[in-house]
Amino acid sequence: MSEIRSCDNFGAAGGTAFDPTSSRREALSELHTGESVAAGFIRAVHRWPNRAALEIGGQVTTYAELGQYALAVADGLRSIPDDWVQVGIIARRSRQAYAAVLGVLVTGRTFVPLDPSQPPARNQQILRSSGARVIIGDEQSPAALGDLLDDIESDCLILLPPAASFANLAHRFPRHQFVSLNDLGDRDLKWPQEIPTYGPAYLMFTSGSSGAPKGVPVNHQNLGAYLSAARVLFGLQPDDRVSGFFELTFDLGMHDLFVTWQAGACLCVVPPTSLLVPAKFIKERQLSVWFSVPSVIFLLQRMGRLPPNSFPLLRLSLFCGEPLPLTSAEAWAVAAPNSVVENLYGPTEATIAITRHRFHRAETKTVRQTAPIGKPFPHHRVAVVDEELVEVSRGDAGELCLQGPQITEGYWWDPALTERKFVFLPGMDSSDIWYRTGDRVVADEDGDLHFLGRLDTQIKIHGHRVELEEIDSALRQAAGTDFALAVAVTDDGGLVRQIVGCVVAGMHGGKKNEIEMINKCRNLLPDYMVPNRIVQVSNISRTPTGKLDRASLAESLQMKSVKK
Amino acid sequence: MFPMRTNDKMIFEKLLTVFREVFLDEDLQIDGSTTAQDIPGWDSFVHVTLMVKVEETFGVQFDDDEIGGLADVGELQQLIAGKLG
Repeated sequence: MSEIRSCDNFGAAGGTAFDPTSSRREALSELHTGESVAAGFIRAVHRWPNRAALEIGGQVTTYAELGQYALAVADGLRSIPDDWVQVGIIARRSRQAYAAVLGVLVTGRTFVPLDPSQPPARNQQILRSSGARVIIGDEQSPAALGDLLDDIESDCLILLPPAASFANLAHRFPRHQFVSLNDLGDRDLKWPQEIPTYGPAYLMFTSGSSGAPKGVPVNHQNLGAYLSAARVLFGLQPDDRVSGFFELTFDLGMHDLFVTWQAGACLCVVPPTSLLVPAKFIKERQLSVWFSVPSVIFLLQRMGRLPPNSFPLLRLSLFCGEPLPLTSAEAWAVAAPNSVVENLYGPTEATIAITRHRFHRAETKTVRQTAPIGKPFPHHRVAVVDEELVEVSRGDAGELCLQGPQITEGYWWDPALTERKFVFLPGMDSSDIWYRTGDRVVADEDGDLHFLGRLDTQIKIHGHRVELEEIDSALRQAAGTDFALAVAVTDDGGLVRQIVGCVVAGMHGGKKNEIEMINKCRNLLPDYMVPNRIVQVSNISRTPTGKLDRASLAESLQMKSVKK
Repeated sequence: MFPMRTNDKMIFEKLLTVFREVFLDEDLQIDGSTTAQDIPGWDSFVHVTLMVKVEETFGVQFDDDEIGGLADVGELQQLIAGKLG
């Protein structure tokens, strides 16, 4: 086996690397010493070359094969300028998509996931903000690429697999260069002696309150810390068959890939048609490990797909992304009687998940009938603080702050927001930087944390993190008025079930216009952020500071039970 | 548009009733090309409710992939017709 070393060269990429405030750079400089996260996969290739790394639609790709596809991608990136560090990937649930992730990492570059099903305008925002000038696609990408490139000013290099037909694209966009990734043929590509890390491992864009998505650069040390914790906490083995539920644009998708591959296990990619009701998939593909958002349990229950002992082969079930109702956890535990059930919690800024709670049948620890988010991962600390950032007494509610090696460095080219959210806490070690989550929590007598809600207008819908201001912005464009607000309608347990757009009545009468406005939002927002309904209201009151009053609007909507 | 056969018509009318019940809208209109994008509020939770109601109404059972893979109302109608034989 060839030795895998990491040569740290962060920030040497000619101005494209992330540059938070210099004091933070000094404080965190020692963190840039970890090996590339590609190393775990490469070790698995050497150790288990003939085991299945990937299973998509029944088609198996071994570790050796996936490694060769990844090296072909890396080979395709060989001739690009050194300072083109960020590489967009517009592909989903395909072998090419996963090979692209690994191939980008092997060259030491940073991958920027783009969802081909997202509106082109959003992908364009992400591409521009990331600075990526190289885009890798799969066979299904040309249609999405056509829309994406329509409004991109800088010259780009687009890499596509040999089977993708892109002659029309090349003709339509003469300024961009289209290159076919080489067929593997009978070549035997070799792993480089050193896997460099010229920048973060990935740049994940989440909903931003300014109306545009904001980037979170996650470096190799952050992801490496998560992977070390996951190895100990979840103990995946080479014979595990693991669900690939999450999209690459969702940071929980990074868990799917890297936790599975560092163990030599098989990633069984859930096809899009099974995401809603995956019971048959879990059974037929004989999964041993499941990881999804909790709302999947609710949907399976509603479809009558969760009778006792439905999934006897599952040994580990993880849920993350939104509160886990106790009724859902209980139903899952009965349906998967041989499985451990864990509730995970973590914002993108803290790399995938950072606290956990193991659910036990007849759980009594609860606030609002949801499972606790539990205790922090090893080597991490949590603090519950008041508005002055002073720790509150045990049992008092406050804002959750997080500290440790999984905490990222800040936001992509946004030092002002970084300064606000990544802070020093009074009375704590002055070299420790804490991330303010904006989540309200309370710790119980055992130190287990319970999620109470948000301190701002961020919501979680079906596991996706959404800033309501970003929907407001789209809503205002769609309705052609500044008097528009998005409101989250919750169920009895406080879970968000629908987003309702409220527009002050005037010129926007009638059902037809509701659909037109929703469709306009659809051109600006990913599916999960598009308002389910847009209702007309006679007026939106203002807060004492003159802002449109979302809270009172939410209250009146809740009372009218707008939800179906 | 081709005239619907009696069986298709019966399925469509029952389907329309289910849609109106689920979306709480007595005036709701649908046709074969109606998709989730045409009816406000048709999200994943409502979709699953709709499928449960359709299963109950027609006495059929859908496959998981069928529930997640429907393109429009026409496809749903054909799927029901196929299951009813």
